[in-house]
Amino acid sequence: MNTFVAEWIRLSAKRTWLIAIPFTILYSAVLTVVMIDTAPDRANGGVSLQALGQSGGGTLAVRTGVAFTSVLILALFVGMSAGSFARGTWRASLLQQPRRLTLAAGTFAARIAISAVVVVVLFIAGLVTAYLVAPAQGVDTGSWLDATSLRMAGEDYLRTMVFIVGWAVLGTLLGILTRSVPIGLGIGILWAGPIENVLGDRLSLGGEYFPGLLLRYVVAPETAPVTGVTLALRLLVYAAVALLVVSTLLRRRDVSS
Amino acid sequence: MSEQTVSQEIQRSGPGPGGGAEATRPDVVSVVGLTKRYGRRTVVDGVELHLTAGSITGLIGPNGAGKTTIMSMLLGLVRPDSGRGTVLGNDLTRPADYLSRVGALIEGPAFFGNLSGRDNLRYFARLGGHDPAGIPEVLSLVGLQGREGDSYSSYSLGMKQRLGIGASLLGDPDLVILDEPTNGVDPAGMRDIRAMVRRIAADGRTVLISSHLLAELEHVCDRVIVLDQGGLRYSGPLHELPSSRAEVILLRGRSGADDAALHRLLTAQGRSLERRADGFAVEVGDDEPARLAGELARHVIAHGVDLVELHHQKQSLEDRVLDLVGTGSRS
Repeated sequence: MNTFVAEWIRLSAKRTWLIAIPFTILYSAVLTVVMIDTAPDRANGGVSLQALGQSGGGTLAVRTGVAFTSVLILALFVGMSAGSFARGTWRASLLQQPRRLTLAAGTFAARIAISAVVVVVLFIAGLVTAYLVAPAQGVDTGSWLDATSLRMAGEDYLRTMVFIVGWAVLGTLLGILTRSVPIGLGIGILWAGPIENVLGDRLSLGGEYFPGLLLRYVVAPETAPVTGVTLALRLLVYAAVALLVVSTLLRRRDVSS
Repeated sequence: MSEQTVSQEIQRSGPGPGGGAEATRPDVVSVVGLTKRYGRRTVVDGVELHLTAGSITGLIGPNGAGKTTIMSMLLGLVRPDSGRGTVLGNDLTRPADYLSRVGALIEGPAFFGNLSGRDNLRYFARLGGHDPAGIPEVLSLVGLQGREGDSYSSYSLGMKQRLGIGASLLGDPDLVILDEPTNGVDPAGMRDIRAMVRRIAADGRTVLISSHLLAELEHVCDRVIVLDQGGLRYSGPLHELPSSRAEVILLRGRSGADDAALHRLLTAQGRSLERRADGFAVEVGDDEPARLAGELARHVIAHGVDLVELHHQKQSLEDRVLDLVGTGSRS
């Protein structure tokens, strides 16, 4: 708990919020405007003017648009985890909290908790923006605040958090594996960009097994080629493997510069 | 006696460094056969280490001697390949059991550049479960009061080192391990850090400190451990470190006639005398240097010698260490 609180307080400094909140509002607003502006009248899944006009339409654009943030989340978590090795703060932290897994879990949980607050801002900003721009596209916003919409907004929020946790785990794994921000970022961007999106999209196997694509289906379930249960099981397997690798690396590796 | 009981007993020592009764004090650190290999290279080779409670021990050796690796193994950062022992009465292989009572600065200070010095200490205090109320006292001890609210990234190297030492004092540890705390610090800063180390030890804490600047250690340590190429070359009191050159009292007269009189008077006393470029050297032997110097001065002055120089000359720590490990740096 000490680790969580220390990291939470460190990250939730005024300066962090002064940067994160305006950026999140701007990002959410631009994302929502683009998603609504380019939405087709009808579609089998995803964002369409028809889907926007139904219950849950208020948060549909921002939830779907979150898929574009994968590289950003990956980069942030690679930077934080690899950076702590490069700066020596991991070593310094271990002198206060020698239980390595506790230290890693506490700091990761605090980072996710900060992300959860940012996602709340993201959704509120997205909803407000959608309210402002959707009527101009002829979208009926009348059902956006009914009980079904609130339940769907909650579900969208959870899906977004699963998406973020997934990429955060991947970023943290890369950071711990490489202990170098440039190398970790290089591998991460290569994977999340060309390999996942170009190769994975072209291979049916990639679409069903690549972790980044599976995470994309979490926030865009309409496009998933696998069932929800299969998706959850495969992601759980990836998470378990990542945790095993991370815990092994942390426990067995020496900490030196 | 159970491990727990031993652990409780090994806390602060009564008298500080040089306070005597060393033989009765327990070992805060006691390890034997400490070994670390990286591939086929052995960086620490069967080192035996004993730190007495309340002592200030200098860890000395050229670059690559294994100083930082030994400290890292004591701190649980590096896993020894072999070796056993205890730190504060707890098994060396279970650092989580004793690290709450150990403070350390290792491989240089490491903090968050965007946070102030005070906020950095708060972060590490929370991490270790220490009461942040002790932070002002720590800042005062390391001389950072007045600058504690400034961003860490704006600190000079000396201030960063001070903050690193400050972080090592969080939680009021019984054992403090400082790896090259004077690295990159100017002479005035070194003097301050030296005084800081003395203050740290004055409370009965045990201090293990490494430095390349042997003259610095000579001023603060009462015991030294000399390493070379991962092996132990000497471990014991500083004053017992082997010396290849005899300890002497050096005397010099104002003129050639005074020097001639010096030579005649001291030879007549049957003293072993050596003529050097800077005067005459009289071996101290088993004598007390200060007493001998006084006796020599009184004798030659009484016989009309105009003495312009008289001082006690002993081999510096640097010379004695170089005798042990040779002059080549292995960095």
